[in-house]
Amino acid sequence: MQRTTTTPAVRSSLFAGLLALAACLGACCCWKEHGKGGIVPLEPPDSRAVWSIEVADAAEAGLLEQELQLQLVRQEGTKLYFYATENLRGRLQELGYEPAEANPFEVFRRVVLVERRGAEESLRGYGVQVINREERHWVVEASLANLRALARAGYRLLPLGAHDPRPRLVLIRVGKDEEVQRVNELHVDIFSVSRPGGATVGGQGLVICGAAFDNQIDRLRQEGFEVELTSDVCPTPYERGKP
Amino acid sequence: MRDRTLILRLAAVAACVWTSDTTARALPIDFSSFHTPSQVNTILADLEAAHPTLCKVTSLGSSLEGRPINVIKISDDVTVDDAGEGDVVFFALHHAREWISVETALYLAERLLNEYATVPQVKAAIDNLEIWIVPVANPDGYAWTHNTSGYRYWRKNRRMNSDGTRGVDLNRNWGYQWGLDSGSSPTPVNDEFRGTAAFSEPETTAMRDFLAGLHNVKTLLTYHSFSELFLRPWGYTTADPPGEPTLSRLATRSIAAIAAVHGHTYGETIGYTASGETTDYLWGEMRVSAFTPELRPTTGGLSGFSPPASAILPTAEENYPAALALIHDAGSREVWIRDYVGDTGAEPSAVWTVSGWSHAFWTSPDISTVPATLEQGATVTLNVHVSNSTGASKAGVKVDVYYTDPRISLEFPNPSAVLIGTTTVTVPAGGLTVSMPWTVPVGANSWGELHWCVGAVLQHTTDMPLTTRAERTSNVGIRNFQTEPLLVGTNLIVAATNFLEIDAELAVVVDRLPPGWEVKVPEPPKPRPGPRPTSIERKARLLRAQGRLLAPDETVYLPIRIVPPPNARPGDAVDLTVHGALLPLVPGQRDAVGNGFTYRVVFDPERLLAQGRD
Repeated sequence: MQRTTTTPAVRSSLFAGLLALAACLGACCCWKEHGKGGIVPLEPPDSRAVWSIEVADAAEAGLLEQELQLQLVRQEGTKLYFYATENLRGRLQELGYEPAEANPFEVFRRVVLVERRGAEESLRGYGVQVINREERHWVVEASLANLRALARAGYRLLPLGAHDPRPRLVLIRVGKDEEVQRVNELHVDIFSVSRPGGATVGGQGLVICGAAFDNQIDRLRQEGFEVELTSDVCPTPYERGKP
Repeated sequence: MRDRTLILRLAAVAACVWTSDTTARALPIDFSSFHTPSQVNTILADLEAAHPTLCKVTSLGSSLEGRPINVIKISDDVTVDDAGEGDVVFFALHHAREWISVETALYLAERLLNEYATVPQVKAAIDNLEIWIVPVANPDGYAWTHNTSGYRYWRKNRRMNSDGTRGVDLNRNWGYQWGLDSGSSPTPVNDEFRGTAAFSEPETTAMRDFLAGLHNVKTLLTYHSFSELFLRPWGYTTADPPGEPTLSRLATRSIAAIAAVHGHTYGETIGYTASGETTDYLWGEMRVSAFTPELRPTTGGLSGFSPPASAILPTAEENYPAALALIHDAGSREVWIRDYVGDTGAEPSAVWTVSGWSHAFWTSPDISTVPATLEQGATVTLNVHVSNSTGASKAGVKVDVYYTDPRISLEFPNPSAVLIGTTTVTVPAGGLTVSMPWTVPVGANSWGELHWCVGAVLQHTTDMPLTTRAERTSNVGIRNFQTEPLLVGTNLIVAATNFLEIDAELAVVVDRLPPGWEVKVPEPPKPRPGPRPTSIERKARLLRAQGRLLAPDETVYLPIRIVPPPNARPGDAVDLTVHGALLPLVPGQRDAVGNGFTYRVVFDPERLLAQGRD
């Protein structure tokens, strides 16, 4: 019987092919699971009680974490959410804080897919924020309490896929340099700011290239900005200016 | 058909990964393509193997998913932790998709190592400094952008947020001015999500702790892409930071150095704010000059994050001289001013201890007046002696001289400083004394005392100050002066203002006096009784701070009582030095900033006289 031999190049190709096959199968499995819907967890990530106190700034939160080993959940403005034992809460009170128990279903929020059903206005009635509108579903963000209400109302909730949600690529035209900051305050992911060739500072306006979710695009348009959805790669017909 | 195309594409990618990860380890680095995470690690290992006496690769911590955050240290005595050498730090790839920043960092490391033997400037820098380069600050994000099931344009780290989305923007997670909605997002789904708290991420915590563990950080560059900009603090606001001229001059020189290579002139501003970013932390909490070069290309959409590989070398090449110039500033002492008699130009020249400052760095013998005694309104000659260590004449040295209210913490330049004069001179090898007229201020300073601080700032294109603090740079010297008449009475009024923009504790220490003389410094007020302490009081309690508490911009007046011995005779005198430092009420490193004042106190049967002295 003749033995077959493989060259390194062939072995490499075989290996690559196997990898490709594995990757493809993996992708198919993920898609199938996604298509089935999967389970959206609507419980807090931890069964422990969540507490909150008022803090002035990030430094104070950092000191609490450093000095008391406070396990932070989130800082939201002056509100600091955390997990704490009874002893730790006592220590906080000694230091002048007033820990209050928080409702974890209000504290924790989730981003999920909601299968389209009826008007978006009805969906919003449940206190959810629509991040993106896709052909068959919405991407929404809401507190666990609101999502549970949504589920009780018969909406079908689906978990995010590995690449959800993806912002849209946009071109935003602004008239004045200061308006770039406004776009930034709406948390658009700004890639670059360009000025049409030959324009002077404060002159013909600027073009921002970036990525934004539908709710951000809505807000931009409400505020009068001209927003254009674009393809995967923004055109680059502009000279960079200094906004 | 579509599936088949997908399989072919995946096969091509897999083949590419297979071959590239098993190719021979070889230097020089091949910059004809972007490098995968494993290739970056191989390059670092190869650099270490090729230059075992000059570089060492370690990890400064682990990412969320457990990947090491590697740092390559470059120094002549690389295995020694030399407290006497300054540290220069380079970060790259806070944002996962900004691949060109990794290449720029690798290029910098390789070129420094290669040029050690042939370029004297590089040798001097490596001999005098510890240079730290972190090519991938966000290893999980970087891996995700290279993963075939990942996403090439991912920005954040890979934190699984509680809302089910992924990622925290590591360059919005640093602690200075963290949490402002104007420059970061509180919403996890957004790409500028700042995290649940400042330094909530292991990557930023590791970088912060790494910096805190260094002896003397001089400057830092954190490479990003893109837009071709050279950004400086503040990021969180459009207002100028304290010491803006120092940062501005460094940025201007860097931009010129970049442009000189391939003609690309980087811009200076980005047009919007970013809070919780790296350079603000460095300047805001440490007064270390720090910059964000936004690399090529100038503009674009997502494509801007994936420029052609042909852009790597020009980008890295043009950024090298700017980095080298900052490295040179950090390691050189070409022109300088003594902070006190016996100062050798070491940086820092003084450090804060429980006994106060180790040296009275506010008494520069290189700054003096003729006549020595100052009268209000008189025009005197102000002399600034500039030393030159280069052994040759040094042309183009700019000397800026200011005076200011001597608040307990001083910076030069600072927004309230008054420019006395500026001149550009050639300093011969033996040094040079620059003279200029100064009209002594009439009346009291803003806290009612008759003393002032003169500060001199030296700049040369090859030797720039990297901070505004005199004890941290030999390019800045300060000297406190008191005008006549003398302070009368038994109390010296010492005032301190918190200019740090963050809550701080004021520490005041008075040097021990000869036997019999006593000094009584008022105790800080006791904590107020009651259940609702203020934020600053809570922070002080957490840190068990004992000093007086000062909110930003708050000024405190401390009457220091001097009690002479019972047997004191008219004319008896003592020297009294008051040391002051602001210790910020922040987690992590609490970097003391301040200075002091030295008085000669003379006993008179009717009163005590106090006057400023050397």
